[in-house]
Amino acid sequence: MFRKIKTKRMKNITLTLITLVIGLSSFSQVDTPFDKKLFKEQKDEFKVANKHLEEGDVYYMAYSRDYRKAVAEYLQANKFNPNSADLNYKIGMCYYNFDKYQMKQYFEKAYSLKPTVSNDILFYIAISYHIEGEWQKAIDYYNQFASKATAPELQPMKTKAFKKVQECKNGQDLANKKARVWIDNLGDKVNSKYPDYGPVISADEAIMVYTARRPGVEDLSPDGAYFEDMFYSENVDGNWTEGKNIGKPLNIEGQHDATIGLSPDGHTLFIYNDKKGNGDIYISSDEEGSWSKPVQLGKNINTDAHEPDASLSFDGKRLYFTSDKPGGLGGHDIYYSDWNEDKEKWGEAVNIGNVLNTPYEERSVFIHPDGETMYFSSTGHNTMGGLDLFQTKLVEGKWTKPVNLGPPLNTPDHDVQLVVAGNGRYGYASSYRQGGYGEKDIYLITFLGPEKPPMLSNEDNLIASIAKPIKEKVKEPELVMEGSNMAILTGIIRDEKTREPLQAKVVLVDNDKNEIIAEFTSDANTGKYLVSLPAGKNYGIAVKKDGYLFHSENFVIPEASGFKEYKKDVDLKKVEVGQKIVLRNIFFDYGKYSLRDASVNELERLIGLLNDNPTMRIELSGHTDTRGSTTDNQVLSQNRAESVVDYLVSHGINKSRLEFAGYGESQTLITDSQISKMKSKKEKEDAHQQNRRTEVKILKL
Amino acid sequence: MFKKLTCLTILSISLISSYGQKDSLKTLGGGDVDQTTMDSLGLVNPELQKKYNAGVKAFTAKSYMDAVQRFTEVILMDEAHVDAYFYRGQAFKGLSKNSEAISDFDKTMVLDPSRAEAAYFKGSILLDDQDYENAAKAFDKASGMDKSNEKYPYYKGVAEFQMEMYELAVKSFDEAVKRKSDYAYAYNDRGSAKMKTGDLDGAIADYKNAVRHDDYLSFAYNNLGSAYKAKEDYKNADKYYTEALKRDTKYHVAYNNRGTARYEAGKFKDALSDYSKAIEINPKYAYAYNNKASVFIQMENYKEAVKNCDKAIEIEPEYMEAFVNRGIAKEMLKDIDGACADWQDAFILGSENAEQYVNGPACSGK
Repeated sequence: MFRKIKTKRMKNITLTLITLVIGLSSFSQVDTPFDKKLFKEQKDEFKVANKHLEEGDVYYMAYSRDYRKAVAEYLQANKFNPNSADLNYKIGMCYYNFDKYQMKQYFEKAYSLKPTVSNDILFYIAISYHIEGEWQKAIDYYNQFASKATAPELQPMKTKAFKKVQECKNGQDLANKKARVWIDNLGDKVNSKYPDYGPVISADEAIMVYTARRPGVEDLSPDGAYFEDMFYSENVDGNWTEGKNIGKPLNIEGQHDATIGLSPDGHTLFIYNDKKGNGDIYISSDEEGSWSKPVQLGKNINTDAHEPDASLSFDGKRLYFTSDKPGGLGGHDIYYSDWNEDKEKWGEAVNIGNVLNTPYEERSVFIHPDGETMYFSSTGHNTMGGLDLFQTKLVEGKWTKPVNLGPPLNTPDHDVQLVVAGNGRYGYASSYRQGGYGEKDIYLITFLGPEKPPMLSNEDNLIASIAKPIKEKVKEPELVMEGSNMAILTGIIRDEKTREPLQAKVVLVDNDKNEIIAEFTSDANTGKYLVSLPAGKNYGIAVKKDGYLFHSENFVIPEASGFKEYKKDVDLKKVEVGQKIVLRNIFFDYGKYSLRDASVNELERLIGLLNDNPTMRIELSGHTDTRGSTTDNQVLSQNRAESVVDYLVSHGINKSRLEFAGYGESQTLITDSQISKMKSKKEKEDAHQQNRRTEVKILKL
Repeated sequence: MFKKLTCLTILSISLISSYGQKDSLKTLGGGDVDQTTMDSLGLVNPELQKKYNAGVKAFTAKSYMDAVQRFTEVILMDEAHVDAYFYRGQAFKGLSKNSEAISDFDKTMVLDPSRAEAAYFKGSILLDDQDYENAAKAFDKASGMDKSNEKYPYYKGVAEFQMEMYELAVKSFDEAVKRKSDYAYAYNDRGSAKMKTGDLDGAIADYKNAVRHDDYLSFAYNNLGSAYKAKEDYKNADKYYTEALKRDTKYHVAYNNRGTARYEAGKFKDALSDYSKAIEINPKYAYAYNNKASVFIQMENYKEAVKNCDKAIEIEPEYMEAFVNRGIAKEMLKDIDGACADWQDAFILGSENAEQYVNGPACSGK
C-alpha cells in the first residue's frame, strides 16, 4: 500500500514538474488574446485576422455547429496570432469533433499559454494522448483532471475520466494481444475522398452495399457534409467494381439513406432512415429484379427511440437490432425479434441480456451466417476507447463473454460495423486511418487465424554402429481450425432446355428433424441463389417452381468441418413425359431397404407433385453403386424402389399410378472407369454416392 | 576328420569381431600353416593344405577372387572343409556376392553348429541388405551359439531397432551390456531404443553410461542432448549438444540440434547462428536451411524464410517440412497462390496440416 501511494505521489510530482517545465519553457510565449491594443503596429493584418476569428465563431457557436468551416476560419486567424490560448483551445475543440488526430498540438499549446484557459483542458489533453495510444500519459492527465475537477458542472466529465482511465488500462493490456489481421484499403473503386463507410456484404462476398457522403445533385446537409446515399459494388474475379449510387427508390433526395444490414443471400437490405427524427430500420428486397421501396419494420422493432442497426440470421427467421428505448441496460442495447410466419410480421423484441449488453453503448450488431458467431461494437466491456469491436459465440444456447478483437482492428477511436464473409477469413469495416483516400474509408480485413507453426527437422546418430543419422519422427503440431464452420451453396437456377435463368424457390430442410428451416428465392434476373448451411446438420435442399419438376440435393455438413463453398447450378426440367429427377433425400440404412425417417420431407414433396398432377404416372427406380455382388445389388435396388411405392400408397397415392424397378448397378451415373481415374479417396466415395440413388421418371401425364 | 576340424578351429584364434571385419585371418600368423604343425596334427593332405594356405594368403591380401578360387578347390577336394566354406564365405562377402556368402556361412553352420561367427557374418550381410528380420534371426542364432560374445546380441538389437521393435531391441542391448559391462555402444543404442518407447529418463541414464565408459563418443552426447530436448529441458539439451561439439567440431548434426534447442527456448538469434554453422560445415544440409527458414518466420522476416526454403527444396525436392514452411512464409508475404501451391505439394508429401491449410479459407477464398 505504501509503495502504491509512493508511486502515485511520484507520478503526480513528475507530471506537475513536466507541466511546470512546459510552462516555464514557454515563458517566452505569453497568452496573447485577440485585442487590437496588442497589435497596434499591425492594424490591417489584425483586422483581417479578427474577421476570420469572428467568422469562425459564427460556425462554432451555431445551433448546428459546422466545425470544418469553423476550423478553416480559425486557422487563418491562428496564422496571424498563434499565441492565443482561447483560439488554440477552440481549434482543438473543432478537431476533436471531426479529426481527433490533429487536436493535441492545439490543446497543449493552449494549456502552455494559459493553464486556466478552460477547466476541462486537461481532460482534452488526456483524450489527445488516449487517441494516439499513449496510454500512460493519458492516464496521468485524466487523473490530474479528476483531482482538480471539483466544480459541480465537471462531475459528469470526472466520471467519464475515470472510465477513460480504465479504457487506457485496457489498451495497455490489449497491446500484447494483437489480432492477426491484414487491413487493406479497398481502393479507389470503392473509396473516395469523401466519407465511405457502413459496408454490408452477401455471405459469398459477391456484392457489397455501403454508405457514402458524396457530392450529388443535392445541397449539403445541415451538418455541412453531403447527404448519405447508398452505393453498390460487385466482386468480379476478386476485384470490386466501381461503387455506383444505388439510386431510387432507396436513395431519396434531401434525406440520409444509410446501409445497416444485408441478408446473407444479398436480396434483403436493411436501411437506416431518420426522416422522422428518431432513426428507424427499413427493409427493401430485390427478389423481383430491382430494389423495392423501403418499408418500415413495424412497431415491434421501430419505436419512438433510436434504432440504428440490424442484422438478419442465415435463415431469415431472427432479426438482431439495436435500440436505446427505455427498459434496456443503458445507451443502445442489442435486441432480437423472431419472424412470426402465421402473422407475417416480426414478433416482440427481446433484450439479448447482460452478457452482451452493458450500461454503455452496444451498436452495429452482425450475426454471421454460421449461426453461432456475433460481432458488435461496444463502449463497455474492455474497450480501449470509443466503440470497440467484439466477438461472441453461441454455445449450447448461450452467448459467451465477448472478446475484444484487439488492435489493430480496434483503436482508441470508434470502431464499428464489421461484417464478416461466410468463409470467416474476410471482413469489411470502415475507419479513419492514415493513408486513406480521405475521411472514412472501407477496408478489407483478412483474418489470418491462429499462427501457423513452422516445422523443424532434426536427426540423431541413434545407432552407434550406423554412420547415417536417423531423422526424428515428424510430429505435426496440432492446429486450431481457422475460418468459420459452415458451407455456402450457391449457383444459378435455369430452365434445362432454354438455359434461361429462373426465379425459383429454394427450400432448406433439416432432414434429421424433418423441419423446413427456411425458404429463399433466386434472383429474377440472374437466377442466382445462395444458401448458408451452418455446420452440424443433414440438409435437404429442394428447388421448386410451378410447371417444373422439383430438384433435390443433399448436403451433410459435419460439426467442426471448417468452411466450404459449393457451386451447384440447377437446371429445372419441365413436367414432361420422359423426364427424370434424382431424389437425393431418400435414405436407407446400409444394405437395407426400409426408409429412414429423414426421407419424409422428400417423400412429401413427391406426394405434392403427384397431387398437383392428378393424372401423372411415374416409375420409381432404385440404383446402387458397383461394389458388392451384382445380384444382391439388383435385389436391393428393387426392394428399395418398392419401399418408396409402399410409402406413397400408404399416404393416399393410387397404386395404379406407380411403377417400380430395380436397376442395380446397371445404370451408373459415373462409370468405374471414371472413378478409377479420380485422385482422392473422398472423390471416389462421392462418386459412388452419386450412383446410389432413387429416381423418378414421368411415364404419363 | 573331427580331429582335423578341431585343430583348425584351435588354430583359428579368435577373430577380431568388428562388423566390417578385416584381417580375420591375421591370427593365422600371416596365412601359412607350416608343414610341421600340420604333421603334428596328423593332417595328411599336403596338397589340400597348400591350396588352403594359398587361399588364406590371397584372402589376407584381399585378392578375394583368387581366394574364392583357392577355397573352392579345397572344397572340391574336401566337401566337409568347414574353414574353407567359412573363409570362402568371407571372400564372397568381400566381393559383395552376398547370396553366395550366405550360402557358405549356412554350410559352415551345418558342418559346425557351434560356429557362431558364421551366423554373425551372415547376419551382418543381411543387416547391410536391410533384411532386418533375417538378420535378427542370424544374430540371435550366433548369440545362442556363443553366450560370451557381446556383439551378437548387440547387432540383434540393432536389427530389431531398425524394425522399430524397440522393446525387443532394449532386451537385446540388455544382454549385450550384461556380457560386457563397459559396452558404450550398447548403452548408447539402448538409450536410443528407450527414447523410441518414450522412456526418456531411461534413455538419459543410458546415454550417460555410454559417455561414462567412452568420453569421446560425440554422438552419445548429441543423443543425450536430444533426450533432454524431448523433455523440453532446453538448458541441459544445450549443455550436452555443446559437449558433443567439443569432441567433434565438425559435427553438423549437433549444431543443427543445438540450434533447435535454442529455437525452442526462444533464442532465435542463437538458433540462427547454429544452423548457419551446420551449413558452413555441410553446405548440402537441407535440414539446417529449413530450420533457418523457421527462425526467419518467427522473426517475421518472410523473404529470408522463402529463400532458405528454396535452398532446402533444391537440395531435397521432396522435403515436406520445407514446403509447409515456404507456404507459411508466402502467405505472410501475401502470395496466396504461391502459399496454396506449396501446401498442396506438402499435402501430397504427407502433411496433414497442409491438407487443412489447402482446404481452409485461405486457399478456398479469393
